[in-house]
Amino acid sequence: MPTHELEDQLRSTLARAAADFEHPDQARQRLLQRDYHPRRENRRLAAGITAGAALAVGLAAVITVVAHGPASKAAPLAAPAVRTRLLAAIDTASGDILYAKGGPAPDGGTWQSPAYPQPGQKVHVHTLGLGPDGTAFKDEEESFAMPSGNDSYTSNLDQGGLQLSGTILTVNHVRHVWGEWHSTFVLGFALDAAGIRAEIANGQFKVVGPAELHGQQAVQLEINVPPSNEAPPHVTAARLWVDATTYLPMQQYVRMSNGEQNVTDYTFLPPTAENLAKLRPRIPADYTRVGRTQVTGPKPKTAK
Amino acid sequence: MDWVSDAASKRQFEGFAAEASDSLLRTGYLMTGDVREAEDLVQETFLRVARRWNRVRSMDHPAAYARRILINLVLDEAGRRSRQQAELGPQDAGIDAADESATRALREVDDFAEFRWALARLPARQRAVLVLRYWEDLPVAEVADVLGCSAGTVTSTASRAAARLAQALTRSGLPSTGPATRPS
Repeated sequence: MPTHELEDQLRSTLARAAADFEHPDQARQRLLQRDYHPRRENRRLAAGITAGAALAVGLAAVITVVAHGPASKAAPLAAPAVRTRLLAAIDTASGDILYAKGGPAPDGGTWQSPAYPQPGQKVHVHTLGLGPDGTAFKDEEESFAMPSGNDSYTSNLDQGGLQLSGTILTVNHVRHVWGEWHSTFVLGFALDAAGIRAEIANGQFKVVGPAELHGQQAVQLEINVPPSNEAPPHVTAARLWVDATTYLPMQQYVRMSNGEQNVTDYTFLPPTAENLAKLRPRIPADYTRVGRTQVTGPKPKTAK
Repeated sequence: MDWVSDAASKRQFEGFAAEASDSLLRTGYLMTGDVREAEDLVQETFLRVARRWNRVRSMDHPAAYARRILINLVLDEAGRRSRQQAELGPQDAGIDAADESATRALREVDDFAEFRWALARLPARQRAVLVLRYWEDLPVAEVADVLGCSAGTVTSTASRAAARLAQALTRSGLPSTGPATRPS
């Protein structure tokens, strides 16, 4: 047992050292401004991930996790500083085209413009799914207006997808036909980017530290994933790598409760004419425009 | 459901967070020696508390539960940094002979950056014992409860920690021969 004198000295010294904490009020304010509602965050993340997983299925995107380079010895930035830089970067790139690629096919993926749409903005999403032999099994563009109002947006996120009304243009490369029609649909992918932004804005992440990804300096983040009571498969871990210079998302990794691992790479493309053309499926001249059922085929029978 | 699930419990949680944040931040600061790391740790603590809020709010001392989470987060993190601890140098000095020198060393502290540096160099459990016992002013039994050890272990660890702190503080006055890891 330390002597009383030593104990008193320890109390006094620790109290003075603790009093050295600079700007505790600012830290408190930052802490109290955060949303600690884990259920909503979890579901929001899950919604984004479900969307990502759906995309991954379409693109045969269950791939081996890429090996990441060793972390450098530079001291990692604290989460609040990273959050500020991330949000600034996202705002700067919000008008870009976000290209997300979740599979081994060299030309497949999803292009979305704008990358982070504002309520009311017209959004275009082009999904190109390629099989292992390069055959396109899905080539579709959805166009819609981003729903306005945070409440409806959030509640839709909580339901696992964004229910939308807009235009679908689909090219069937097997039947050599295409069609365009107005429809309602649930779009998951748009939530991927929006979900990431929401996680960052709410501070639902930890900074793991510097890393190297595809030969570039990156910052690795760990997204907080609370335990889920939802039916499996659900997300058990999620990580995000952001560019150490631009602070834009580079890659997201998720692990599901069934052991599946999904990796999605992100690239932000400037809205040049060449890049904007990627938002629309390419329709070969010899393809015929037909009605919806002829493009998509008969609806599958409902299982009894 | 077992988290902040409605407006009333959310308000209650926010009240708890407002009340507990200052103490947790300072505890985190003493445990890590880094303001930002302390903030990250408290954020993570609040997230974990929020997840179990419906249970936590019925506890007699929710703040104690949060403090336990915070300490465990630091101890978990320390496991990953254990190699750093190996750099501390010579093993513990004799406990009995150390009290006097530790008292003297602490009395002479006038640079708290240096003190925090020395504190941060202690093994995490020793640091936790000092912070819980002498900053949080918890009784020995309560410290033992938080750390999952006996009261005897707490007191012996406190002595070893104080001796080691004194060693580090004394040596920090010598010219540095290693890399620039000393506080500026």
